[in-house]
Amino acid sequence: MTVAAAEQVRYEVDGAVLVDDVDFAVTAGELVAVIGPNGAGKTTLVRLLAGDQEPTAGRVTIDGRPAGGYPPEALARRRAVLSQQLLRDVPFTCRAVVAMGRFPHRLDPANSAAQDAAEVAAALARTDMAEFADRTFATLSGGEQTLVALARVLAQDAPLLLLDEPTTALDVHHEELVMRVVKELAAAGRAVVAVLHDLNTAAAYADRLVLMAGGRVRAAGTPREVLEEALLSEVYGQAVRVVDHPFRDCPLVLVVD
Amino acid sequence: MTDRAARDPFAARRRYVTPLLALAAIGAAVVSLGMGAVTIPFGDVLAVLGDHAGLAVTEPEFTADAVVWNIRVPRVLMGAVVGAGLAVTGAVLQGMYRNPLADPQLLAIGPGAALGGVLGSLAGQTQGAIGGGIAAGVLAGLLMRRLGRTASLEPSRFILVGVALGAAVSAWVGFVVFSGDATRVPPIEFWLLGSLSGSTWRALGTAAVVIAIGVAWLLAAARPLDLMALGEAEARHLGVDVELLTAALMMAVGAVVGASVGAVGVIGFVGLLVPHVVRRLSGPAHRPLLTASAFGGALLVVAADLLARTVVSPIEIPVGLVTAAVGGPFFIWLIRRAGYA
Repeated sequence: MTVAAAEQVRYEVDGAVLVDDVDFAVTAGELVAVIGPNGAGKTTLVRLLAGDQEPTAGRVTIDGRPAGGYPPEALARRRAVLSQQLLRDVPFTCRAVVAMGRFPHRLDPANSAAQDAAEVAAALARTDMAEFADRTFATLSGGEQTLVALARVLAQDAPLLLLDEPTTALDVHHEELVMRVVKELAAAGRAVVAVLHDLNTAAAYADRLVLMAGGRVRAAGTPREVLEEALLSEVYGQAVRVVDHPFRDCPLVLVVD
Repeated sequence: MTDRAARDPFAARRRYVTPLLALAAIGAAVVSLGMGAVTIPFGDVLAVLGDHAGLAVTEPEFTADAVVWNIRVPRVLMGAVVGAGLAVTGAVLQGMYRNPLADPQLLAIGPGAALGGVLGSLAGQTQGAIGGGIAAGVLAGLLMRRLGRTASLEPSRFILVGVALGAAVSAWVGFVVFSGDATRVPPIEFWLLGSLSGSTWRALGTAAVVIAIGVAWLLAAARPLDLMALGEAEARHLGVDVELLTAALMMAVGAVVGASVGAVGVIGFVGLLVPHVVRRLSGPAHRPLLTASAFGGALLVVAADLLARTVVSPIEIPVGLVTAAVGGPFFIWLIRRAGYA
């Protein structure tokens, strides 16, 4: 079941075409990684899917309806967004920040303060941030802030998750933790789109990869289909070799000197 | 959830900050009723209040009754109501713009309301001034909202724009005052520095109703206002209709500031001073912050007015001089702390 889709989408601002001729779809239960060099249009695609921006041409839909057509709260119950650039000087505690993820559910008769508190505690535990619950967000390191922001996204409890570089600034342990959590969410039936810079993280966890370059989709498919030596070397302008991962069932991309 | 209370740094303090500020405001008000050009003993003040509350034990003396009930009670209540409104609107503006320097006077909403107030007073004296203040305050608020959207949101710049606009608008207030009928239009120092001395029961009634509705409106928006701390983009992602919220907040801010400026003129720095002090006690969440700020603002203006009419007694100085004397240095301290110096 398709949760979100972009059809023939083009987005331009001040004459610059950031995204062009993009077809994209994510279904419930899959983790799609968007990869590509800097300036490929990955973040713009996420923003279009989130309904932050209206496409110049083409159509972006969530649950079959234009993303821009939902009232803000209804949209927030359908999709949660982890942005790449977080404001750092937030004076609230981490618990309060995560609780903000419950805002779109506040008028839901089936929701309760107890459920909010339980969801918030669960989200903090899931991202390994429970011990930071009463720390002020502004006092956390960049990586810790990303994890709390991810907990907020989890607390929002939306069927579609749009994550723009969720693993940037994270150490290996937390990077793997985040990817495992994201993978579990997909396995539990959510549709997840994650922009990832690390090709090997993408290869190890994503069900499908979408490789973007110059605002267009260059390749889409399974990691083995997309992570192809000649294509990657051309798109990134960097010679690479692709081998089998020694113990994970996925390709491994190695940079060639 | 009990362990939460133990660990949240503000949970314990939040419980006593509002009652404490409320008590202090009531205390300042009672002291204010006895002090001024004529000192009225505490017992006589209580006798007057008791008499009007219908539980008279001793008949109050006639002059005490006239001074306390007809002059000082409306004046002190006006100070409390206006102070509450100004402090709450300051806190709202700071939250909405993520800007510690935001304040209704510095963002030209107060001066804008003063221009509306002075024009209104030509038409209908005090009630006209309050009506004109409200209309102009709402307009000024919505104008500043537009400027804030288009201009770069660099905080100190936005404030500078507001201060410059405020100065220009204040000049227009002066033009109207000096070309108007001096028997009908309050003097320039009333508009620019504020005074509670002319407060009547009637003006108090009008201002109090508008300010109470405006503050209730702002309190109702406390939760989405909290989300603005994450930035507009994130607030949108979480379902806040940012355009609608900021427009609704600005209209209420404009009405509250407009009613207070129309009634007592511009009293500066209340919206800046009070929320910053209260925030240290209540934490950043807007529901406790706005509630406690209301009482803190009442306390500040009532106390400032008491000083204004006793410090060089029997001459009264404008109450805005007192708040500016404290607020100016505080503003500089804030700028230095925020790293804009």
